[in-house]
Amino acid sequence: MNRFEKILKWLTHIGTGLGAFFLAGIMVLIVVSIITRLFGRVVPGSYEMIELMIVVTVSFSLAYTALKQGHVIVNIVVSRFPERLQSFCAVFTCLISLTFWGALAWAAYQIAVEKGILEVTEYFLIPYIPFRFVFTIGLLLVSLIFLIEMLKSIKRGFSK
Amino acid sequence: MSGVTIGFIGFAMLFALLALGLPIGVGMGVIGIGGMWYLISASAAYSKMAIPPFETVANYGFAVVPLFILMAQVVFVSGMGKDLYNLAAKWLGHKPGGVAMASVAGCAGFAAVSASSMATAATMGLVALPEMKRLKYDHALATGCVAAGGSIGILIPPSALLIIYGILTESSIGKLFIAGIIPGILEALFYIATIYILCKLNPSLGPQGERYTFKERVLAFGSCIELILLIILVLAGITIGWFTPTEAGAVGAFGAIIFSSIRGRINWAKLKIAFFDAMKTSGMIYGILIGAFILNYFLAVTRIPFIVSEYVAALPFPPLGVLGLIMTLYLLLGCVLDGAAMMLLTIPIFFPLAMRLGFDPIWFGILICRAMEMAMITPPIGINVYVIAGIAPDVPMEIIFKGILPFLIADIFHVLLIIFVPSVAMFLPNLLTQ
Repeated sequence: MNRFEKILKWLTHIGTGLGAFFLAGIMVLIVVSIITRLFGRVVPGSYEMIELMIVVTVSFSLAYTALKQGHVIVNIVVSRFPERLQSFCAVFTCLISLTFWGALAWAAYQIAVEKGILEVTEYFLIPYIPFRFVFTIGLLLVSLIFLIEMLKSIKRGFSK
Repeated sequence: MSGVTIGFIGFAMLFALLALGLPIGVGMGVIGIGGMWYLISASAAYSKMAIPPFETVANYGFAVVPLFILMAQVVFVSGMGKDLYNLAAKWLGHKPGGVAMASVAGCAGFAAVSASSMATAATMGLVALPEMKRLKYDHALATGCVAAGGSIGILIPPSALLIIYGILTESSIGKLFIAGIIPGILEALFYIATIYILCKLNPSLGPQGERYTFKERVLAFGSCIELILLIILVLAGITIGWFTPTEAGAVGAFGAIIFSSIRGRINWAKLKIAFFDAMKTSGMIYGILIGAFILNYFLAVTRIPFIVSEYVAALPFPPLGVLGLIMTLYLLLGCVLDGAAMMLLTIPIFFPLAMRLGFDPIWFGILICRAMEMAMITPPIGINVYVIAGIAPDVPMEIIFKGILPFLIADIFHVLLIIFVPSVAMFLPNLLTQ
């Protein structure tokens, strides 16, 4: 499990770096399009390029947030439970979370395959499919991170 | 069972799951999918799993979220936010309670680059609390003013909650931003007046700090002139219509990186932290957004928003009475939920009601955000209080809540002002529409 966790963390960090790179790209592209607009020109297709680039950013940001346990939870009730019961709740919520994100990843994959290369952007005719697959990978990473968390919670529960 | 009954059962299950510690976005998504499955079919549930999440992510308008968060993170890691406090401290610090006033003014300034209330409280807390400790300020006043001042981050644009409100209600984010400016500035003035009154009644609460010469005060502008210009550019750009909110976010983030680089305030390592933190916060917001959009489809099928608005509108209460009830409910919900989750859960129900009662969507959005600001400093959750408690671990939580109390009273007057004088929020948006 240790190795699996390390690989997962590594993949998430690589993805987050890529997402951050695309975020920087979005920022620069928008600034360039504003500057060119001042001179009466437009950057063609910038709108659709941003819509594609933001997919990479958000897909991996979801995974990074899960890795850093940054998804918003309400722990005012659970924190008052005995430790063993807290571990049980953590197992239960991780199981639901991994199923939810896993189901979204499966649905995203199905749609990507179904739409195939025929779904393209309006201006540059860029296929959506690579970005749909990136989204699937991001969701899958989130699901796997919750799987690791669930296994850790089970281990914690048994050790108490 | 009727759709409404299923809807209410769904809500009860959602709150039960959240109480067990399920991430809020997941809870909303699971109930949404389960509800669609039960009420319509498995294929309907599948289509809501497959289509809305990607549409939420691949959306130009929503890109405003990570861009403004990035701008705030760059200002935060580069330490440029501290300069705003130093500027305010040089102008106000010599007055009784002056450093506390400067903290609030610094919060208002930082709020103009930050989309988050917590980041505002953390930034100002880190610089102002040690200074107030040095001057032997009363602990309750020192911590209370920074926790309350941090909440201004929601109202003064850019604001993550106003963005989410705009997305959910299809209201103009630009107009919402503009509408938040005057109420945000007034909120800061209300807090400063509160500090003035407290220190007038008991001068030992806030001893005077150093007095600076006029030249020193003017020169203090030099250290943060770029940041002030950037704030003006972003706000004026949205107000005048030079940029869309998404473009303003990009200009703000780009400008913050350029200015902090020129000043030598940011290096590669800090920039990496800013980008990764922006990714983390964006993931948090998108995680809730994805779940909320799935839940909203379920709510639409149950017809709960329509039925609730029909029912409440038929009650023998005047519209302002209903508004009072909504605001009270937000304060109560704020005891257990965070702002974004609260908004995503309730707006699909309350917004149709507000429209039915004839409220202006922009004005209503400002009021809702105002209620959430108050929720952020009320016990037992009061997230800003936890932020300040983390920075000042020697101050007990009860003292911080005690310090917040006078600011909550100021908040009530401020909210009443927005309710009874709507032009406080609507003056600027109306001016621009004419």
